[in-house]
Amino acid sequence: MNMTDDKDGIKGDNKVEEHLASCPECSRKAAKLDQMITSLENHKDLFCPEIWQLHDFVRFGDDPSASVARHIKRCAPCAQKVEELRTGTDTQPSMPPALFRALKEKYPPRPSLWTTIKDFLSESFRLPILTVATAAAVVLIVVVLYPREGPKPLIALSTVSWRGSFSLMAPGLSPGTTKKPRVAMVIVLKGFKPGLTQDQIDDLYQALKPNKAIKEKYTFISPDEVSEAIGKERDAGDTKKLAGKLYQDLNVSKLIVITLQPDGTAVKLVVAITDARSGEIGKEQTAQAVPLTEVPGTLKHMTSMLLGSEDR
Amino acid sequence: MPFSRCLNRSRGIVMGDRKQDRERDLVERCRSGSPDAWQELYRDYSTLVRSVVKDRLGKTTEQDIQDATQDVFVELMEALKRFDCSYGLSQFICGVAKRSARADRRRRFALKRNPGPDAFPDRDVERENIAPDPPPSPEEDVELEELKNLLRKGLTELSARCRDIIHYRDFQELSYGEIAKILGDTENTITVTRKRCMEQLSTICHALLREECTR
Repeated sequence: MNMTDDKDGIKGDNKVEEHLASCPECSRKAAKLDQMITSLENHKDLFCPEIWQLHDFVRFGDDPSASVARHIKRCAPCAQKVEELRTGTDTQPSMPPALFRALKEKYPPRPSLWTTIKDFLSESFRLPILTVATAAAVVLIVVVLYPREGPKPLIALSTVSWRGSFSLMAPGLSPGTTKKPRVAMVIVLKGFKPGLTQDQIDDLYQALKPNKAIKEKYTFISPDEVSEAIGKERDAGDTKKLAGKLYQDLNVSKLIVITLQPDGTAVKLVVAITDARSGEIGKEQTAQAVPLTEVPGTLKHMTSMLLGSEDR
Repeated sequence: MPFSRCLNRSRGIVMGDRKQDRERDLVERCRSGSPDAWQELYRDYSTLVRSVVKDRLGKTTEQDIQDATQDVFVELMEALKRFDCSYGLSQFICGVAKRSARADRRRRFALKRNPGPDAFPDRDVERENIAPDPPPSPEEDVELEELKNLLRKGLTELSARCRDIIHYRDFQELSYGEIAKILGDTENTITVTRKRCMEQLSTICHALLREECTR
């Protein structure tokens, strides 16, 4: 619907007026609406994000154009809601037993595939050996027909060093130092043909160099150090394994995996935070169709936003 | 829209394929009855559900909030079958929670107006502690929410300039002078423009009202 003209003018609609005149229900609602419009300042919640948007901001770091972050700075009720959601999220609630029982009633345990096949075949065949053999054949067919995995994404490493502007703590914190979570960032290239040049990769790592504000919350591991720890193992298929290795070797607590994937003539970016200890993927952000020239800037923005919204 | 053909929503940085894939995967596992998946769903969304329920129920006991939260998840066991990626999972769950809490509130409201002898069998103490609900009935609440949604929609259809002026004036409560300074206009222009914007908002909302009524 387009009711506006170029100069904030009003383009009335006779049909609307006719309808309002003939429909008492709409006429009553229209009057109520007009009342609300004249006292908009009493309905400030109209300008607030929806509760699910606040939830996604807290839980997954979703915030298109940082509008939620901006809003909560000005809106005390929303800031309080965010705090409540954050506290609730931190407690990691587990399902109450009554709900678990309801779930069991709704979804009673089903027989395993093997049992189903065996039952089916034992009804069809009398000989036990034949039953088992045919069941194995059926299982084999299932396995053979299962689609294979596509090409695996690769980790792009760099010898870029972020040292100099700030001090890095060595693996295994020395006593007395402030314990900040240690963060490593790894770029993963998915489906690039040809791949990026080392210079381009270095530029990206250079762009990821954290700013002062974010360094106050975290200790960052320099890309060259990450590169040394990862060595020749460039397969990015198993993030959990990679996170585990960096946790063990570099005492990393959060691993940021930045995945770049061709998206037409542009690039799709996915930035995800993984808990290095458990390997569990936490918040993530995605940007579609980012022009090549804007990739470094967008990556910097996305990682800062993600880390900024992350609870330590 | 069939579940298997969920389309990517182009919402910029908001919702990426990976998040969408993860939601789809979670819903599929929940649908197949995986306890782990339900545990994950509960862990990720119970805070949201609780928050919605708490808002909707108004003044109530902690036990009632917990019960109502649980009711929403029981309802989700059926409702998740309808999830088709048109919205994000949070938005979907939020919708279910609102409906469920509204129904709950209706029941409680009816009970309060006409409490039978067994209305609160074991909860006399709690009944005494609960203050009476504020005047609006659940129906009035629904209507108010409906009108607010309409107004929200109307606000998005205004020109960016109108939206800015209304936001500065009615949300941030800036004076016309302050707004004029920000937007590089005269105070008089801002005053007149805001008046026109409000009229425009009214026109848009009336049209939306008719659209909804005749749909």
